[in-house]
Amino acid sequence: MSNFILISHRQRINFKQNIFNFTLNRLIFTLSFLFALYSCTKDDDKIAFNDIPVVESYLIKNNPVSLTVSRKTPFEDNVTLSDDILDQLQIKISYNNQTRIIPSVGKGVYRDPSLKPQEGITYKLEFVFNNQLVTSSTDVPKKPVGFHQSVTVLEVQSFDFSGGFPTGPITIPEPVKLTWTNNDEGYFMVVIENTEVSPVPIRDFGDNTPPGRFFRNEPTQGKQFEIQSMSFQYYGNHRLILYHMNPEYAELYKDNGNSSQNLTNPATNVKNGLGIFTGLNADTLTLNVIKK
Amino acid sequence: MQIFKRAVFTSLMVFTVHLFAFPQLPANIILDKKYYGSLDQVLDQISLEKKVSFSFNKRRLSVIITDGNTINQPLGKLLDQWCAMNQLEWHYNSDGIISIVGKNKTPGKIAPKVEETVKKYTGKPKKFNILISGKITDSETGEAIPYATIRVKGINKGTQTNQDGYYTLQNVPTDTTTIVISSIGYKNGTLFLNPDMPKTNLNNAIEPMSFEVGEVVVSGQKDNTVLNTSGKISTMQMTPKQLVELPNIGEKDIIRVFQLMPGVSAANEGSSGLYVRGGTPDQNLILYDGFTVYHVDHLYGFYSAFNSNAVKDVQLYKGGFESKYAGRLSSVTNITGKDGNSKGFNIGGDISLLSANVYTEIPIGNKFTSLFAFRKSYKGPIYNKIFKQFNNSRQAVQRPSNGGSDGPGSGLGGGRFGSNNFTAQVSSYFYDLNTKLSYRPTDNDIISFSLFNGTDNLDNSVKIDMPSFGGGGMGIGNRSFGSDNSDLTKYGNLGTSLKWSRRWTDKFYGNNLVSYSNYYNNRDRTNNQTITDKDGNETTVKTGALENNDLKDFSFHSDYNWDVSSQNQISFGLKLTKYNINYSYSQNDTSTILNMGNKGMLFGGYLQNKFKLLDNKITIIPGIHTTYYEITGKVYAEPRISATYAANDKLKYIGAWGKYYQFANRITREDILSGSNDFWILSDDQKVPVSQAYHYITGVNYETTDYLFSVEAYYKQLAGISEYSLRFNPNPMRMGTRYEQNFYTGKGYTQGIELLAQKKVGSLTGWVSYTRAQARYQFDVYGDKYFPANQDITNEFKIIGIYKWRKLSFAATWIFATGRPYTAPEGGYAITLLDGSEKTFVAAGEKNSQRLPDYHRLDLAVNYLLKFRNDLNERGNISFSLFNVYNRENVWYKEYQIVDDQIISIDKLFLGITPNITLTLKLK
Repeated sequence: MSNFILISHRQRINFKQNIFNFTLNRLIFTLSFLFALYSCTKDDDKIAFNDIPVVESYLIKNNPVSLTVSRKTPFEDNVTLSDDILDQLQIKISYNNQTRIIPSVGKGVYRDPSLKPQEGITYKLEFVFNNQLVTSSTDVPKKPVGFHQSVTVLEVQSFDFSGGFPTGPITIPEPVKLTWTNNDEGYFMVVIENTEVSPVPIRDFGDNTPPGRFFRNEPTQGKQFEIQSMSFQYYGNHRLILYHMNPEYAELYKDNGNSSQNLTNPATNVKNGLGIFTGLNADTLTLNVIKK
Repeated sequence: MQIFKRAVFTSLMVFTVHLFAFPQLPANIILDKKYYGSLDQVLDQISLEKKVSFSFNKRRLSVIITDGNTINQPLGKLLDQWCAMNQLEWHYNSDGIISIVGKNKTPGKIAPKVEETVKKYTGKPKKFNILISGKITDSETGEAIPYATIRVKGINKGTQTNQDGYYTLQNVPTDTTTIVISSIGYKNGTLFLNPDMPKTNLNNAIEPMSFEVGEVVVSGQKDNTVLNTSGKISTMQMTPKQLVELPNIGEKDIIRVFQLMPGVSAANEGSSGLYVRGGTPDQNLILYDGFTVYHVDHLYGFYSAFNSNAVKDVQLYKGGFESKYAGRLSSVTNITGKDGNSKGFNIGGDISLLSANVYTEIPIGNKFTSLFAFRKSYKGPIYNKIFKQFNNSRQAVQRPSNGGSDGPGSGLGGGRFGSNNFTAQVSSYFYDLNTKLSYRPTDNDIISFSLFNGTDNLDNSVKIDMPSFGGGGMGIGNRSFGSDNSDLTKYGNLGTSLKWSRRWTDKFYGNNLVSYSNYYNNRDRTNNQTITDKDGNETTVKTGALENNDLKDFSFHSDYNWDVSSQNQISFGLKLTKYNINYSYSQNDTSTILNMGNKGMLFGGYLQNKFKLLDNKITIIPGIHTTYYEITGKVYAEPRISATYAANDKLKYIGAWGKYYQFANRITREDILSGSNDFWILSDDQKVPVSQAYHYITGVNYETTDYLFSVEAYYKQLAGISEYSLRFNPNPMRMGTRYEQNFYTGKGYTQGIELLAQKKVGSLTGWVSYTRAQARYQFDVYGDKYFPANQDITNEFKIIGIYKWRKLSFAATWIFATGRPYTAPEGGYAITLLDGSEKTFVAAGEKNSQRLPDYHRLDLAVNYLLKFRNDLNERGNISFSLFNVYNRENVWYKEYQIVDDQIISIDKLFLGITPNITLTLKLK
């Protein structure tokens, strides 16, 4: 007897339907399986806190070394911090084959009055925090050369906007032009500081909080800066400090974003940490702002 | 509520009977028995027994009682009697369907009664296995209809018109075969072949679908819907005709409608780009009449750059696309502009709370058509709402000055002019212009010129206008002072193409196209301080940032199609693109931080074969695209293959695999403080690699006359993807320290499953879609782990319903999407700067480890057709939309501020409830 199997037309249809149902069942099964697989990969909602230190230290030529170590403020509550105590860290600064342990003076501040940075020397920072070696390195740039100001005395008329615009003639003097030499595209910044004990305001601030004694430009790779007379808030003596700086300081002025669309970690030159460890050099001029 | 109940009731009452096969003419159908009861029941019975298709309003016919005197009567005569007694009319349309409607109502543009004898040829065929070719056009406007389906009735054999509306169908069984023509937005057309008619230049016109189908539901009339998945692999087709029915926020937007389909992400109010299957908008190639469009956003991305009044057809290939298209990793959007009415002058337009839009169509003779469309926004309530939404967000994050000045251009010091007394806002707008000129010197040639220009002029400048006293400006003594803060962004596209298409023979079609596309983006965020001294000399100090991107794309395309046989089609072509891209970023008027120039040429060609097996049940399309890229000096080959298997006329299995390269990349410089900005650069294989993707696609479609069910699964493997950040980088050499761009490169994958259930026919149409997906990237800079890409959306559910009732249509769309991933801060800290001020910083947590709250939104629309009694033409619409009906506070992004040693997170929201009303009018 042959093994030939006769399939009727109806059976054929059923066979086809079975194949279809089988395919459909497999499809549904596969889909369910894939969905189940996806469901297992739920994202963890908790934001992990990476306890790394924040360093702040400016190595200014001939100024004693000072360094502050702090912790970030966590975004979420109940984060786990390392056992490190901020005042009990072993902060080392090495230079010219020497290593100094910088003593703590409390509140996370470390200071060594005997260590005064010098030009052309590379300083390396090293300490352990949260079982990681935190390192950084910088050098003190050259003192600015050719720092020059267009005037030493600036006459500014006092005026008051609080009662509306003044009606009489007001003279706005020419801006104070500061220039310096910059042949290697170095970074410079001018900080203007009023040095009077009790500075006299140029204009009535009304109910507004009086502005600070400092103002500054943004770090620039240029070789000049004009101080508009309207930038001055107070009469009296001012220091015009020109800082020659390393790029890592200039980086601090750049935004790392503060929204969820563009948030990235802030720029830092501290490995396994955050903040700044940078050398600076400065030259200072003075300017007297007097009443016209 | 009452209206809703009535609408639902009516939808239930509307009933359709349909049958298939070859219909007999009503006059030839002799009823052989008595039929009793209400007219609707009688027709149901006749339909079943005599295999006739009827279309009628069941509610209306159910109250008409017949006398049963039907024996030995011709159906045509009986219909005449029943209609005459009840103020009805009957029509036998080209699909063989008998429609019964109210007298003088002319709903749905029922085909006029035809001389039945000229339709179906009843004699014997003279020729067998013939070739037919021709062109399919719109019966009202004469426009060629691209991608219409031409099929032999009753068997599985068919083809599609090309982009210019031409078709060739080989191996048609006989010269008396019935040919069915269908296209989205059109009623099915029927072509009854007879031995006497010519078989080439067999041009046919089909009627556009009417808006008003509430009373009459035409059975078997497919594609009464806004979108069509067209049965091709991962492809969707849309005609903008019916966009008016869907809710909108001021514009009928083609891109927004695609976002309602599975696999295309919808939760992006702030971007008109298409996020297709985990891809980013720059991975989607957008072609408009053959030229590439590089930027599609109007008004911060709330609207797309495409004016729907100028668009005839849009195809979206979600993946696995053919070898003809190359240069992008993810998807292709191919937009065909309207040629313009060839039958007469037409003018029309829309006005909404956002913009005014006008178009005109002017034919000259019978060989020349033209279309001009212009759209411009005005500062109406919607524009202002979006503009403020965006700009308030930005203003809110400006940091207060810390005693001193904190950046460039703050020479005015601390808040002395702390009010708005001196500010004046300048205007902002967007516009676009479309022009298309087509000339047909012969039946076989088309020369067309297309031009598109769209520009956004976003001006958020503030001028300090000092009250004038003692002269112009701020006259202080003999010097004057003025200041203005510019925040001006001007961006847009200018694209143009000149195309010559020729049908060389019935089997050989080709077109040659030269195109130019220019994307420009100029950004001016500067502060100008002008001081005029006593001698009248002006000194202007300009501080701030200037950004400028200019992309020029010169292209030549040559595409040919050879219909070797009905089972075999070969396509091939050449492509040449020359890029010239410039990008510059400068600060403080003097220092140029970035100045990049990219020039490069792409030269490529493709060859593709489409062949059919097993009685046309299996279609296989292997192909290859190769590109020589001048910058890297390498040749890139992209092999691809796709296949479909039609198990029967309803069930279709699909599969596709392919390799894809991308050479031009759009870089988004996310910047909320000054607004995000995009620019394009070319890959160089050093900093920016040539990116590549492999697509793996499989799926099943089950399609009946009324419904479509589709499941597609995809996996995309990505390599050489780039992320960008512009950073102020220290240079270890100290010399020439400057800004540097960081391009992080990595790899990734996307995968997902898309489900779609669509009801295509009837008073109630719409679809439900669900997408489950993942998009994961891995960049070494963020570690070894794969992290969710910015565009990763796990679950996306959309439901769209359109209900039509007489001249009204009601539409509702509801969207649910898992929140997008974002990077949250893990902590904050402050650094004391040299001037004694403190600057706060936010430290980023794990990359994209968090999710925004889920996005969901309901939109509603009511649309009323303007059509006057005894007027065959629809004259326009009035539509009312309500966007985000329940005012869901969907989070756009989060913003962080450090206040009193605490990081505060603030949710920035998308648009709340927004109404809109649009009036559309047209002459024809």
